[in-house]
Amino acid sequence: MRFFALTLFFLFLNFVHAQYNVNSIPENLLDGADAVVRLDKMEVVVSAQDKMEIRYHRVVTVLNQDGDDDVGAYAYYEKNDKISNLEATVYNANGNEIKKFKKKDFVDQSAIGGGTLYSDSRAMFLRYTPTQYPYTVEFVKEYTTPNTAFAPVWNFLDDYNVSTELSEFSFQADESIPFRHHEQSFEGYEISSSNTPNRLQYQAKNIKAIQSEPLSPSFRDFAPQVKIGLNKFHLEGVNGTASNWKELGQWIYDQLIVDRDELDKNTILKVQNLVKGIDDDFEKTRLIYEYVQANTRYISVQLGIGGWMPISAEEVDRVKYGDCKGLTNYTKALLSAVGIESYYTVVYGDDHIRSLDSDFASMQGNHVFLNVPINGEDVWLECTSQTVPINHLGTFTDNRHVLKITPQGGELVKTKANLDEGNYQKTTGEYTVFPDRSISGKATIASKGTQYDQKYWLKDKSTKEQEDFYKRYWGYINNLSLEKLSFENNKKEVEFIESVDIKAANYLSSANEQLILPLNVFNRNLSVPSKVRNRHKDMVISRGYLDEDEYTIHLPEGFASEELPKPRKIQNKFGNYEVTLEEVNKGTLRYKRKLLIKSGKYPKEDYEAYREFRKKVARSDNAKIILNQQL
Amino acid sequence: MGKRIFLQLLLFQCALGFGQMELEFGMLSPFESNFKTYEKDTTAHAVYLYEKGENFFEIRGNYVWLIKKYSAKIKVLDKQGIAVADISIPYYRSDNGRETVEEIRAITHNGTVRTGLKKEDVFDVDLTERWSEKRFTFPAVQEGSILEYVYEIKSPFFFNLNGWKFQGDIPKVYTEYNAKIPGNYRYNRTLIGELPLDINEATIKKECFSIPGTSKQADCEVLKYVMKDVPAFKEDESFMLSPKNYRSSLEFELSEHLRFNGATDRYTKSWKDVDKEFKADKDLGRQLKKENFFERNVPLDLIGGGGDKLEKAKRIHEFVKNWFVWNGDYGIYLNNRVKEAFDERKGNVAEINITLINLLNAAGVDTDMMVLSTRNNGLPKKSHPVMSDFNYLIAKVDIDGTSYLLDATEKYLPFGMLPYRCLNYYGRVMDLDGESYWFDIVPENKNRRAIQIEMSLDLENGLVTGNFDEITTGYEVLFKKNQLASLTTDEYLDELEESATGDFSIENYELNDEESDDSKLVEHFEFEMDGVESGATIYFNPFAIKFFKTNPFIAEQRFYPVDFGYLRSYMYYANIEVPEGYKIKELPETLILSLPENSGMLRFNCSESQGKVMVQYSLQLKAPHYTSEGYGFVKKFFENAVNAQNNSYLVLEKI
Repeated sequence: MRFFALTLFFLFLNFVHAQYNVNSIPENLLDGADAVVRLDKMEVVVSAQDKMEIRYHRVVTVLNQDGDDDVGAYAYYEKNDKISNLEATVYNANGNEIKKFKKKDFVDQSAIGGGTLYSDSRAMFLRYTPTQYPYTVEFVKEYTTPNTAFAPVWNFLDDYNVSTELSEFSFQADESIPFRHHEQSFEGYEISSSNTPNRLQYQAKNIKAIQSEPLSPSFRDFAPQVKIGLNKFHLEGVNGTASNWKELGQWIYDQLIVDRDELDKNTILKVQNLVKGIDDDFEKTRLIYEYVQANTRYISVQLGIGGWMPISAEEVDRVKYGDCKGLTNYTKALLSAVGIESYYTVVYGDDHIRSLDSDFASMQGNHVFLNVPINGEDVWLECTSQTVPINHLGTFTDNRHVLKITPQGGELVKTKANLDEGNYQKTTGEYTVFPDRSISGKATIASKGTQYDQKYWLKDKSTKEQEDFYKRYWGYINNLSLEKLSFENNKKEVEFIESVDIKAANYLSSANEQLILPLNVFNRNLSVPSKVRNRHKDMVISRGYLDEDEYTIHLPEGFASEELPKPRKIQNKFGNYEVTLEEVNKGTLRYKRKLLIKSGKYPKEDYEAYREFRKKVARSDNAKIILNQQL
Repeated sequence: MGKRIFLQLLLFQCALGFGQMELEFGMLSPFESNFKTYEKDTTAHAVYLYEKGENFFEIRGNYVWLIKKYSAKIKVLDKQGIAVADISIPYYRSDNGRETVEEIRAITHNGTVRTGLKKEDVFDVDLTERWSEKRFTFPAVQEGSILEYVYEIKSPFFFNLNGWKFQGDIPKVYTEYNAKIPGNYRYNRTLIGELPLDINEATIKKECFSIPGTSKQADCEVLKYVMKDVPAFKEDESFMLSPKNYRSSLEFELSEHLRFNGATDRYTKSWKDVDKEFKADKDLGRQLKKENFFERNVPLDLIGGGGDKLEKAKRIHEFVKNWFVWNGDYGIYLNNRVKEAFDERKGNVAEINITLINLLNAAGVDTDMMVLSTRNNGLPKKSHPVMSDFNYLIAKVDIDGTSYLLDATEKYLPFGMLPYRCLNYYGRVMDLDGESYWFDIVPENKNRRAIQIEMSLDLENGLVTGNFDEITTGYEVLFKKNQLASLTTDEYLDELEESATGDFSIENYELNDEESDDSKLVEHFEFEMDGVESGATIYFNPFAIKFFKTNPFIAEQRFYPVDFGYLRSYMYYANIEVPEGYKIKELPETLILSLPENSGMLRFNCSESQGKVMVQYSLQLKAPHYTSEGYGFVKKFFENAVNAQNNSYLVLEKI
């Protein structure tokens, strides 16, 4: 009997120490994982419209260096948030405690992102250098915030290469505060829930890590998630009521936007003069937009409610700077001064297309820009840029749902897409080959759509930066020297034209009497997406493009090509590729090339075929001809 | 009437007193208001029209403070120049006191229109435990604006009278530094960079400084240094030592303070003083005397065990490397807690290497501490001791007449080799028993990547298959081992495949443990590569592996010397089977090229023997340092080296 008791005691002891033992992690969670989230547990209680209490408990076992960032032991906070508890404990692989951190041991610093002059957001974070892998960090955070407008979003899976052993989320609100919730991408995951009108509870176990794959959909599009929106909420001193996008937009209008567009009389007169005698609204809008671009710049300052409310148009007019909200509101005010109505619009600005959730209204988005309806069409203004032409939507804001804020409430609309052929680049070139194996020539490159986006800014860069750009763009030309660069930004047509004169010594290789000439000097598309051994996700090409090339090639005197390669044509569902080479007259060749890549969603099985296609393109773009000396 | 006269007098005085117009805040000189373009550098986006700093001591509220005044006027020349409108002013605090930034004032001049900065638009940001900054941006900035601002830092830290940066990222028309230093404070001074001073004045002002309650008056040294038309400093060149070595500046370092009561606080004066202080320093010198502690806390036979001194030293080095995890800090002057670090098995450079030195001495191996400055931190001055130049420390071991420099911060550092960051020419050995002395850092000179490859062409499938051995030595091993340690084998191979040209895939990989050791790594690869097209004539590039995809030296002009840190060599030997039914029509021409004074050698030749083509390629850098005048040669040399790999073809034809 005594023996039994002792054994029990021993087991118990062992259990306490072993709860974070690495050996207790299920085998399948280690597959492809840099870290395992052993426990991710959040309990949220909203007791009043302006009081939300959060208790958070997280345990992460980090398996290797890449997993260090997944510890997640930090707390961002705003002025009115109160962190009541913050602690962390580090365990070694056997689950034995190595180190403990109290709240005062956390580093407390301003949390100011790049590109921001000032923000009153702060962060407390753990500074810990691991001495061995694996190790485990247990983290506890308890805080209260009045900003219930930002009810938590719960992610059952952190990121690529992280698995989750146990994820628990509960949300509870006082009866007087109705709320909505939205479950997303639950398919294929075992997530249990027990929900009542005032309380949500979720639990998920053993979610395996996902590997990142090239050309896959965004992580956020397939990872399971719960979103919550309160119908009565609070944000930095301002209360709100909303249960759909229309109402949320109304609140934004009434509380954050309205009456912030007053302007000094002189300024009003100035812009009215600017558009004097012009009737066309588009033209008026263009003039006002260009006035804003020429006179202001982007500076971000975020203080309290100022994180969501624009600084007044009057103040922007004085200091000539502002963040996206300030500059958008200022442009709106100027347009209104010349009789044009426009709408402040909230968007997720991101090069990966990201929409506001059309079936679920909550505080979303990270950027604002301006919508101007002219003759029944949407015209868009990106007010933070001093160079983007009117109504040009780049990859930052194209093809997605955005929220227009009107005096009558919010309105969800979709911005226009950049279609495949619209992302167009035409390269017209001419080059001469010399017997000393060098070439010299010039190219004119005209770009539209997203290809315009990728280059139009070059014009304002220093000569060195411009040269570096071409040395990278034509990285395959070894001894490239740039003789002349000139640019034209045709804002009206949204077309950017580059004219470049080049020289390259030793461009050709030689073998005795023969010269080897790689034909495609100005536009080789050599990138092939990397091999994926066992692909899981579908393939997405979010934006396509079309390149057309035409070069005239002057061969050195006394040299001729043995035989010209036959035309090559590849056509498939991903796009098409064509190359021809013809002799225009003795010593002059014409090289023509066309590459179309189509946007679209393709099943994962297609990935290898796509790679094969790109390999063929790369190979053909590298093709060479042999020049023989004629006797 | 009286008022008017007074005004005139004042103006007259202004004009008389200063060669360079000294104007009230908010006023522009005719030169400034009329300034349109900067002819001396038409690529500049903005230019300092005027910049001035004044450092002096002042009594405020019963304390002596160091006051650092600053004022500047910057002309925005084009749109890109607007970026200079964002200003940050860093300031410092410690447990002993804090600096404050006072009287920030800023005005944007657009022609005659002036827009002032509001107080509430100046922000305070804490960066680290010790550094904060004031931030603001100028209002109403346009092309052509002149941005004017002034501020003052009030500092309790006299060592922060540290000089002036004449050269910045944008050019300066005029930049002036003034200091008024009471005779009882002494500072060492060093002018860095190539640019000459246009004004260099030192005068003595009698009885200019006194402390209330004492009768003595100190004389002051009044200093004025000016540079005119200072070009922008160009940074960002590959393979260079710290830009600090070249940027024109004046450095001050506090050397001693004679108190009014006759006592002297010495900071740095001669190496003799430094040596004496060093021995008493609780963060450094005294930490070297903790042999007992370590003896008690390490395995018995680590120190007491057998073997000669070299074996002991190697054993201890290995032990310390494995015992500690380096936290990434250097921290050679602050809060070194060697014992705590040892217990936690984690520490900064100083803590780890001091442990190493203690253990070596405990084992009877003659070891001293050597302080040095990392490559990023600039070269230490040799003219006089400037302790703040040093930011790193290592162990110098002497065994039977041979010296070894040891660092235990990185797991894969072999005995006697320093990390790349330390390859900065020399350091100072702080000999506890004698005098300190300079000692040269001589990097390992056999740093080689050698590839031996066998390939055959599978024309039917358009493939090249083969295998190769890669033998790496010296620093190249260190990089590889760090890479291997941070990646899984699959990731490592993926990276190799990505860096290769075309569709290159590694089918099999083996690390040859038997032949590899600390300073040598032997790896074996089997590979497959796409892209051979059969035909009457085949053109085949024999380089499956390329050392440099593109020339690392693309700039037309180089402002500063090229510094590789250590000698390097790259070898590629290939054996290629000529496919059946084909014969060799043509091989690439032999190439032999050398850098001046035999400081580099490039060889490439191909030959045929018994149905095989042999390719030999070697690229050797026989000097770590090339002057900027020699840049043209280096650029050309690399152009050829890269070209030979990218554009050479074997020509085969059907029999």
